[in-house]
Amino acid sequence: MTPARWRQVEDLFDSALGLEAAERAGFLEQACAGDEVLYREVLALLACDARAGGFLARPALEVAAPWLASGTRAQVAPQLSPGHQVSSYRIVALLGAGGMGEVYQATDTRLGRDVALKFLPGRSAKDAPALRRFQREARAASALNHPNICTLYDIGEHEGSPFLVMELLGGHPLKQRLAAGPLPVGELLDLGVQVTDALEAAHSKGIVHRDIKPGNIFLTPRGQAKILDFGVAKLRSGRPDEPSNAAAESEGRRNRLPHEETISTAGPAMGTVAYMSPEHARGEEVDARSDLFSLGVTLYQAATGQLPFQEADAGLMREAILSKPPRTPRELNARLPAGLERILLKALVKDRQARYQSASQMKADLERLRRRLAPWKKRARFWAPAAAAALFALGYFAWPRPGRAPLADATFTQLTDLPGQEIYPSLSPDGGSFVYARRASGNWDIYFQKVGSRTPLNLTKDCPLNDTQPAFSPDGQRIAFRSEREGGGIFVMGAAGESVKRVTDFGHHPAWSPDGQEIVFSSATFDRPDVRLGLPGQAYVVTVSTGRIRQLDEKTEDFLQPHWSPHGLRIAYWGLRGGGQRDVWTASAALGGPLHGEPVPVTNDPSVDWNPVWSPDGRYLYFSSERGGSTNLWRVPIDEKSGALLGPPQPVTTPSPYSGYISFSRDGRRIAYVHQVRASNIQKVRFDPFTGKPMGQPIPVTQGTREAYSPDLSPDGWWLAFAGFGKQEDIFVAEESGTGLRHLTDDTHRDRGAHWSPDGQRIAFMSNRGGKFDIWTINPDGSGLRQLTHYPVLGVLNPVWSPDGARLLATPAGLNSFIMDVSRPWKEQTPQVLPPLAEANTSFYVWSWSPDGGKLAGDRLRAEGTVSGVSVYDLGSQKYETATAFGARPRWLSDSRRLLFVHQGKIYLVDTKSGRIHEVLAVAPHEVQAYKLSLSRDDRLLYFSVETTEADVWLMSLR
Amino acid sequence: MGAASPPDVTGLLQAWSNGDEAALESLIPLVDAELRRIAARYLEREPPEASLQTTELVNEAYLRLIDARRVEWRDRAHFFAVCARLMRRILVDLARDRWSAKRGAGRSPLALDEALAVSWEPASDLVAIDDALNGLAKIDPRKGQVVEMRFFGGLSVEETAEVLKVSPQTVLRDWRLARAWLFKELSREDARDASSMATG
Repeated sequence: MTPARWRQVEDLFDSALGLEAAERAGFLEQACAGDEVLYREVLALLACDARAGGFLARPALEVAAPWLASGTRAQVAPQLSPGHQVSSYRIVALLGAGGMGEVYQATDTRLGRDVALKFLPGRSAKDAPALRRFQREARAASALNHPNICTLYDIGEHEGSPFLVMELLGGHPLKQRLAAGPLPVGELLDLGVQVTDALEAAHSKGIVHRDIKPGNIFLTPRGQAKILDFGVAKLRSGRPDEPSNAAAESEGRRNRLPHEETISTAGPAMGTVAYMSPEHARGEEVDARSDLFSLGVTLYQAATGQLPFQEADAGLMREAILSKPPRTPRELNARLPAGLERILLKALVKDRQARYQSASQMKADLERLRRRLAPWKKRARFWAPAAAAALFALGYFAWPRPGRAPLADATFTQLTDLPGQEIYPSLSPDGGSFVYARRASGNWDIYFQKVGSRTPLNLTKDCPLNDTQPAFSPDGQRIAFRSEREGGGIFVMGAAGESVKRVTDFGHHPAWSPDGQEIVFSSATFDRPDVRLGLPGQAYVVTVSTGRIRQLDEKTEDFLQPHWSPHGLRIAYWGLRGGGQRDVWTASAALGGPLHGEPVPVTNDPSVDWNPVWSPDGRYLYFSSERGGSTNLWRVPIDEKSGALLGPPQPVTTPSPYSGYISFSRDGRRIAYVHQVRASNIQKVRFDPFTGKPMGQPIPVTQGTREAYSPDLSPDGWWLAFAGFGKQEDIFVAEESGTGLRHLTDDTHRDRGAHWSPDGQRIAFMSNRGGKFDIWTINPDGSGLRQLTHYPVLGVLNPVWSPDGARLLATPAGLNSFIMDVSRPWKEQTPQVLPPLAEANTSFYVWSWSPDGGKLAGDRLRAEGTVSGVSVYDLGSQKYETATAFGARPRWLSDSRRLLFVHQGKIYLVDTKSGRIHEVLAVAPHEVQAYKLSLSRDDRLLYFSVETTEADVWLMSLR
Repeated sequence: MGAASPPDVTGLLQAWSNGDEAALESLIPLVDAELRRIAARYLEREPPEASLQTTELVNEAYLRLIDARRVEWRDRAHFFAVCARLMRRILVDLARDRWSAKRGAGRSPLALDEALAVSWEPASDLVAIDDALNGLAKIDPRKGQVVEMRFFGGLSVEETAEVLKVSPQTVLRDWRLARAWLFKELSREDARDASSMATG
């Protein structure tokens, strides 16, 4: 490029940036005056500019910090560098080094999965007791296979050093969680049940852990507890219920390793004294009941924030464990349920004969208490629209919470009980009424309701398009909302739905400035916080009276769901951070002025943190987070001026399994939020390809509380692969009828979007097991896991096989789909990227390849994350055709002419030749999910997923 | 250099910036080790504190590398620029060693955490960025410097403006176009199909 040319590019780029996005193409066309190359170059740079929000956002030094640091530790101990091969494992990174040895993240090159490798510390590799302990750990742990025990896959030896190959866990130890304060009772009970379940399994195999403590219990981001380090465990056989059985004892002795006695009596070094059972402290034989004592100490600490025996040194501690009674838990935390106190004290009885005799006994007590305290859990599972009205008599109930929880006297009231989802509540400033979004008549509308009344009033019933995300103005006189009407944008109406006025022609999630003059909003939106399509959101503010829009700072990586602080000093928002974390930030925002200074992070952890909302006094930032295991409300004390955090996050626990979408009344005493129970199942219906109509009623294929979606029928029509969202995201395979369900993948990685190869020999799917989403394949029997794409930077989504199985199509997030050659390794690929669509800021996201091989059908995915309809790309003529102006997820019929697609909970059919569209199927009161549709080869059976997610508005009232 | 006295990073930087290439050989291991120590301390801080230290990480690097008392005030900006160049060189070399086998795989440095659903991530492939940046510098040297100082050197807009003796507005404009251009280059490389990526 000549310098003169570059200056031209630069000038046009700068000028275009000064214009509204919509005006840019026109301006350039004119300015380039027929210079097509120049026009394209600048347009491409502008498109990249729109996408590059998070690119280069962090200094290189920070990007590199993790591996720079791991290199530092390398100098301390002989260490393996990334890329190093250890038998069939390739080292990825050093995760940590300490007294117990070095732990690496590695890839199992045979299975393609991530694992953790644990080595002994370098100098003690030849140390016999350490070696024996290591082998014992291996032997004990390999006998265990339980979802709440860290799985041991393999044992190996590398240059004389033995190592363990274990499940790679994300999350943090309970110890770290307890540093932030006691657990809410609900979480504590969930934890207790999981750990006792795991101990029950281990004890039944004769394995005692011997070192149960918060440091050895790991919490994954999805709320699963995992027991680590059966490291001091000893093998003992015999039935755990009869620990004094003489035969069992002698059996145990025979199996005991010679070194064992020393270990069990070695004192503090071998187990943390604070969690030790009295018999262990006395140096006696430990058994299953000793683990229950240690668990009792752990749960006591989780409930009260303190240890039951707290002494200055190990000797006094040992003395206290042997002779002092523990302080009554409710002395420390008056709000603990009496039932929990009984359980804790029973686990802490000094004489093991009088203690819980088995993990199953303790588990039963914990479960019983959990059922008693949380009746909604059961109700949620069996929630049915018909029964909803009858179950409404929920009234008030108070949720017991630990003393340090911030909102001890809260009561909870259910405000809506309609079938389907009522979301995005916004409380009126006086707290006496609220508005929310609900889809009752095919499209989303905004409803108004008085607190205490059951009569919703539809404020937007005149508009056939979606209206959602309402927000009361600070004076309660107006409501801002997002609407699809007139091409979409932010609108404002009166509190009774009158005088609707357009404010912007784009944007989502409006939030008012405290003076009611301005609205901050985001250019992008999302459906659920853990699934994010489209491009990063950008921050905008509009002056309501003039409609003048200004873009806020570019330093935000991603910007969603903004909320203005009560004195107008800062704006809180959340977004995707590099690496995929969902975190909350605040940025300084003087009213009427730009954002200035760097955004200040509020969270930085792997749990999904979103939906930040300021308390009306400006002292706290509330947000929704899964940090406690399930998605619930949290708050953090914050300085409204600087954004500095003034303490750790505190749980604001609601009795809901999933809470979000927070809204305050002006006095801060009422908080509306959404209680959500997600569920979806796969159904099938007979389909007549001649009339394009269903024959008969849909039949369920899967049934359960797990979310099953994205079905894909095998080419022979016998099997169905689909994705499941539960505690983790896996690919499942079942017979076509739904029987014989099994996991195809079963790990903590997110696996989605299965697609059978046309020969039925392989299943392609997307998985983040390589660190970000890429395309993988696996054989239907679970063998042969292989990574197909190694796309740089961006996640690659949604594999689609060509009908001949030779090529595969996939879509990098936010870009057009590309086609690759399946037979070649990634390095030798020259992927064919589909050309740009005519529509600006829109990418083509392919869902189906026509059976004749000639055409691709896909969504027109807007940068903001919404879909504007279905298009078809003809591989022969290399041209796009618009198939529909609405709907998504197209699927070809075998005639390669008609397409099924999903729109607003229903399935439609479009004839791409005539353009004619008709409705195929509705499953009211539920909705067909906007995920993949699947058809049998003869078009006679249609598979789809139906969402039965329930979301209701609840009110938390503070006394 | 005596065992008791700290290595003279500032002196070496001065020598290097005056054209003494031999000084670089002594500099690299010193700065490399310092960056590693800083990174390790940075990561050892408990969240959420760690998350507040983004700019402090870079500031600390400069504090430890440059003996401010010995550097003339008018030279300070110049020193930042020299440091930025040095950090670029060290970080890219390390990244190259580390990921040479994975060139093009685009993996971010992995953290302990389970990688949550990632549908979009900013680039962290330092080697690819470095390559593209060389290309940019050929077309527009000042924009190349802006990226070097801001991304590799962690300098603020104002500091960068001071070094380059231009207004902060100019730095911001340069930065925005440079970023878009680099993003485009990296995307182009990804797809190996320059023309069809134009507006992807």
